[in-house]
Amino acid sequence: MVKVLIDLYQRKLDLFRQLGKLSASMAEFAPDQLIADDEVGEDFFKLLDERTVIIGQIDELTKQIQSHEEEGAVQEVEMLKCALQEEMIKLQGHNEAVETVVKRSLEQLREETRKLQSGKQSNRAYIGRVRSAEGSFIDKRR
Amino acid sequence: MRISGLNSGMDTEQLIKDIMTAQRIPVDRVFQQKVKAEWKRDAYRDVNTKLYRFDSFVFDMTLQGTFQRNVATSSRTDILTANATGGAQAGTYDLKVTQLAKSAQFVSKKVTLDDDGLFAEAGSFEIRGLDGEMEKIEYAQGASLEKIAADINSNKSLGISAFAHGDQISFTTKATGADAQIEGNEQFYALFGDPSEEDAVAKYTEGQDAIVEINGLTTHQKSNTFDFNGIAVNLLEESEAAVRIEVRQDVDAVVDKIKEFVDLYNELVDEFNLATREEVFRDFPPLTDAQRADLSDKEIELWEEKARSGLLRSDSMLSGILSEMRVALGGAVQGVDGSTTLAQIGITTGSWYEYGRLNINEEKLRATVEENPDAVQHLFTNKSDNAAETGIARRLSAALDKGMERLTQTAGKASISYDQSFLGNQIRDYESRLSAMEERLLRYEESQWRKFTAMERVLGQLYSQGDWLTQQLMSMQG
Repeated sequence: MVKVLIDLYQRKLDLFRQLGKLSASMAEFAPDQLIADDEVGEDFFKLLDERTVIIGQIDELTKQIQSHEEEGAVQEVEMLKCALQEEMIKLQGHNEAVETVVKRSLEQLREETRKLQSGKQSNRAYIGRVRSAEGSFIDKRR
Repeated sequence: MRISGLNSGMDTEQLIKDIMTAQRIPVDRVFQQKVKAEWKRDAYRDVNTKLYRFDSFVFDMTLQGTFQRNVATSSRTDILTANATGGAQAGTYDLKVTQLAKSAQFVSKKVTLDDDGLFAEAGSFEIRGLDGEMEKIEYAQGASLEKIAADINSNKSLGISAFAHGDQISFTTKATGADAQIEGNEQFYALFGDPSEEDAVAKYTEGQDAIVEINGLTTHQKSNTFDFNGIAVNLLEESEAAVRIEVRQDVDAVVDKIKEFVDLYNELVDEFNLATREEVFRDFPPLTDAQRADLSDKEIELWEEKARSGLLRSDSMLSGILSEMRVALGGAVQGVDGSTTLAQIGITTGSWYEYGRLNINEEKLRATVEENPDAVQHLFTNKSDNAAETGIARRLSAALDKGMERLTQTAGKASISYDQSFLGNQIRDYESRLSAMEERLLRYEESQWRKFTAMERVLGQLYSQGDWLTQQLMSMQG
């Protein structure tokens, strides 16, 4: 029965490694391309979906592991747990890198929007004129 | 679904609102161009309406009748009045009213009625109508004489007025003259009495013609109102003495008409000059809906007053129309006795700073109308294929027609449902551009929202997956 537990842990470790690879490739996306190129964005979202599926599979395995955990610990399991922890720590790093990519993309999107807006506003002198004209009417009334 | 900065903490809503405001700028510009084109179209149409009104008046000035107005006066308005109609010729007429025209009249005997003054039995009688046929009048038992009078008065084909009082009734023809008659059937005379009988109480007075001696000739008139030689005469009294009717040219009417013409022309010139010299306020473009929302009604009114100012400034079409009007009035009209100009009858162009207004020397105008009415008429109305001989009213009317045609080609008419004028097409073009731009704006806004929402969603997922990872790690360590 311990063999089952070892197998489950091995599978979980494999999934975490897969997750790590996925996250690493997501962290390599350039923030500007992510917002400028729809295809790049699509690829990114595809990877994110894959991540979500793997996480679901890991959750499933975790449940199965919990039901076999009482069967006793063996050295092989402990080694797998250590390897898992290492993968998780690596994954945390990848995850933060992916978060940074997305945050930068958002920031860039906001900056581009602002630039576009200020460029347009420099041509929008007449909006100001309405205000000054209000003043001129008030002056006339006085 | 839109996620507004939930994960990133950005105010996405405001960000997109601001960028959309900026994106609207070119749309607003096209909108303002469209509004200006509409205002200009309306301004042209307004001018066109004014030209049309003036042209209608000018048309009157092309008619000889406008200048051949006569007035008739009676030396005894207590005996007869006279009015000159279109065909009246200048001259004098002596009229003696020997006899006035009268209606035929029948006054009944005392009609047999019951104690209440009503008919004891139903019955009927006949009276000859205007078409020569006998018309039957019926009355019911208990009817009154007043009821019979009312029935007769309401019957237009009889041409008779009836009046009942007590137990008597009278009938009077509406028409006068010897031909006017009242004729009943046997029942009529039985009921109301036969005047031809000896000692009859009922009386019949025949209608009579008016007898009027006109310049020594005795004439019979069926009515006290009649026309002769374009004079409408209304006889009031018989008289032994002759009454003089004098027909002469109505100088006042002609002078007043020419003065009105000059006034209307000057009004138009003033309006054209005002429109083509009005100041342009370039800092006051038409307001967009968003700008209107920020201003009070009074401020909008003042703003638009400035924005509309100078729409037709230096407008070549208006200047052209005005020039053609001036040319039409300025030239001489060739006639048999040489040429005539407006200046010769006392109408001159004002100083240069009056921009083509006309001035009237009324004394000179009146004297010319009195002394040489034909020349004045010729100056305005003469019809000829030769431009040099064409009267100024006709020339002016042609210039106005041409001007109105040009205005219609440029700005169309409110009465035409599908405006194919230059400005009409331009406005439609602006409208379709605006519609496409609005559509693009909408798409742009949606794409911006899509991008922000997608990124926010990713960030949210990453955060939750990060939490999940931490939990996994903690469970491993725990």
